[in-house]
Amino acid sequence: MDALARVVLPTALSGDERRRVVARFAAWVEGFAPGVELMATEDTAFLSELPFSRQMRSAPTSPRTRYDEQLDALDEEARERHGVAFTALGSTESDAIVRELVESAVARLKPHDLNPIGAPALWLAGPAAFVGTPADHVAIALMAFYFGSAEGVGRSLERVVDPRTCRGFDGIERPPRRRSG
Amino acid sequence: MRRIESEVCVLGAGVAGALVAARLAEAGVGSITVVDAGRAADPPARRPDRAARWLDYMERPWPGDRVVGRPPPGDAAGGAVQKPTMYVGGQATHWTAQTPRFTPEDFRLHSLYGYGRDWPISYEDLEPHYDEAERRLGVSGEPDGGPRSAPFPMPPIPESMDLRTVRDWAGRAGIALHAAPYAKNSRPYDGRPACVRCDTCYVCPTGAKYSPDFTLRALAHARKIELVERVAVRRLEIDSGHRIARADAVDVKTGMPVSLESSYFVLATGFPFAPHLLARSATPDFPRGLANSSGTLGRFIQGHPVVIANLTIPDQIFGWVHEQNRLMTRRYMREPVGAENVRFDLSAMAAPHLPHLRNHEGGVQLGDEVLADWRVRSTRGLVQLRSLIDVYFGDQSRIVDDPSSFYPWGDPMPKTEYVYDAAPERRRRAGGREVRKLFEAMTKKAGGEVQFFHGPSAHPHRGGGCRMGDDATTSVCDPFGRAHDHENLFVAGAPLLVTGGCTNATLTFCALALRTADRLVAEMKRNRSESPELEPA
Repeated sequence: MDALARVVLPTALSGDERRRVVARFAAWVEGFAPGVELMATEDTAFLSELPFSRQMRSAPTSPRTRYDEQLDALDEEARERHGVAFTALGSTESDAIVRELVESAVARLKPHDLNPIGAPALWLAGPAAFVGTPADHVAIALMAFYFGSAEGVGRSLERVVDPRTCRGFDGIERPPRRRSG
Repeated sequence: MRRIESEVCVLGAGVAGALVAARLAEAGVGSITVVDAGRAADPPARRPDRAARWLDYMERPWPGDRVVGRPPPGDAAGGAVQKPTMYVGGQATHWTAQTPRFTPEDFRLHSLYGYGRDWPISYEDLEPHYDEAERRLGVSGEPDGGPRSAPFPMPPIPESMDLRTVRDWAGRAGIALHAAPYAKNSRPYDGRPACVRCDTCYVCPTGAKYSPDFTLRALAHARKIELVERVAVRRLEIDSGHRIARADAVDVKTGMPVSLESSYFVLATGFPFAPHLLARSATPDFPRGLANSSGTLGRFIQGHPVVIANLTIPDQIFGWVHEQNRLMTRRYMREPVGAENVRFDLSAMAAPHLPHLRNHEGGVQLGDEVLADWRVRSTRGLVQLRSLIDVYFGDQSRIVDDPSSFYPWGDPMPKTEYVYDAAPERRRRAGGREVRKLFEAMTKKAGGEVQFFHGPSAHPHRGGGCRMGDDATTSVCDPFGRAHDHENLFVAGAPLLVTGGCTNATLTFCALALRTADRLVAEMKRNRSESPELEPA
């Protein structure tokens, strides 16, 4: 997983930061609850503008086994192409393999899975939005997890906005403070 | 058979039912039953966890709030079949809580502009009840120049830098925006805390946003009402004097029949369920449905098409700072535009840019590429504008049985048929044209670009079907919500609408419900002069 994270997460993350993201992602996978009702378009008009929420559905089976199999498949692909494990690949080779897999997964999405600007958004429901869809792949899920997190949003803006916390109104009239590091 | 007797039986425990029950209880009505087909929503203490699971796993924070086997409530897609909420508290347990009033013009459309129909009451008649509704719900707002007898109960929710940017941008375009009013606490109010900007208003984890179940829980806890959950009303029965004698219901859990017997019935099941229930209660004397000697029951249903546009503007908007609140203007609700006298509201919110898997050329992005693309897009602010367009639907639009959707107890669900015949279609098209023209003019003047324009489509905030009027031959209820045909039957809230307005309508539903409750209290006092504890407002 860490080798995959090197490819799909920003390179600015330190090794420790990356490992913390991977650990939190693993905890997220463990917390997945199959069979629970998921949000649907009809819950709120706002959702009709978002991907993957067109109809009532329940959470599918946990993605854990699929993710493990997909990580194994990455390894097999690396051995087949380059004769070494995925973890031993250089960045160019590992990037190419992951990019192809993600491309193939995204290509399976139907137009109605896309948001109005035609590109699947990674945020909002984070990785849960992809579980059970044709783009149910660990590489996409890990990206969705990170870029949907407070840290990912903060890194994009280079500010601290902490969107998933009840954070009061102090300082709301000013730009969010700059993110350090 | 289980029998439940009371002095007043309120059918439906949504926001209208909650306010009616509260008003009656405060007036000293001794025996009030509030009946709902749904079950209790999660207690407030459970909501933080629901909000967290919603964010983390996309789980519905209101599980089970739907008829078994049917999709959840709502009509976001403009669907014909409107599903009932199955939670005590109704749709307003998970509403956006935006609470603008209608304008004085809304009540006089025909006189002023020659379309639609005048209400039998004026804005001034309803104003005290708007004021009361704002106090009961706890509304935060900024003066908007509209007529009102009292200030908002609370100042507006603090404005974020992002919203200030939107306000300034619109100001450069010549549009003065103000904070939209919300039933969310900007300070501790009515025993509930102030909002702390969780940005998960769909499920408020703190209780700062009003929910009708707060009112109902408090009333039930104080033994002011008997709250009967999971009992669905199937039809109303009348006696020889055409009074409502009882409501035949079913226990949703056991399937056993329940008889609700009362001196007065308040039908607070909302739209379209109230007119549908009356139509389902036809008798030989009322073959087209109870309360329908006029033939207008289930007709003249209203709603307003919505237009949404995303704009990029040259000003920086960070997004993610406080996305739940909007700014708005009532200018075009009061000053129609174009040859068609098009009326619409205009609201605006700051929106965040989202990370994308594909770049604008269609290629997949990973890691640093996602971040770089996201940062480039984020240099331009993203604003969402929304307008609701006033369209008056005529008698061809109606509520019927849905032949393909049934409740578990066997009755058909209601289906709404909105007919865009010549007049509403002309207004819909003209509205879309004028709104688009305005949005484009704003970007031209203040800078920016319309990125995405959707609508006019759907028609949220539905109402009508039991419209009020002075004339019993052209309306279902009198100007206080009493059915012309049945002296002990009152309809509360949304079904009474005469026209649909062009802004969020829940506060108007609440004001109408309180007006109905006041009339009922006054009548009970008159009928029981020996009971001085009954105090009309």
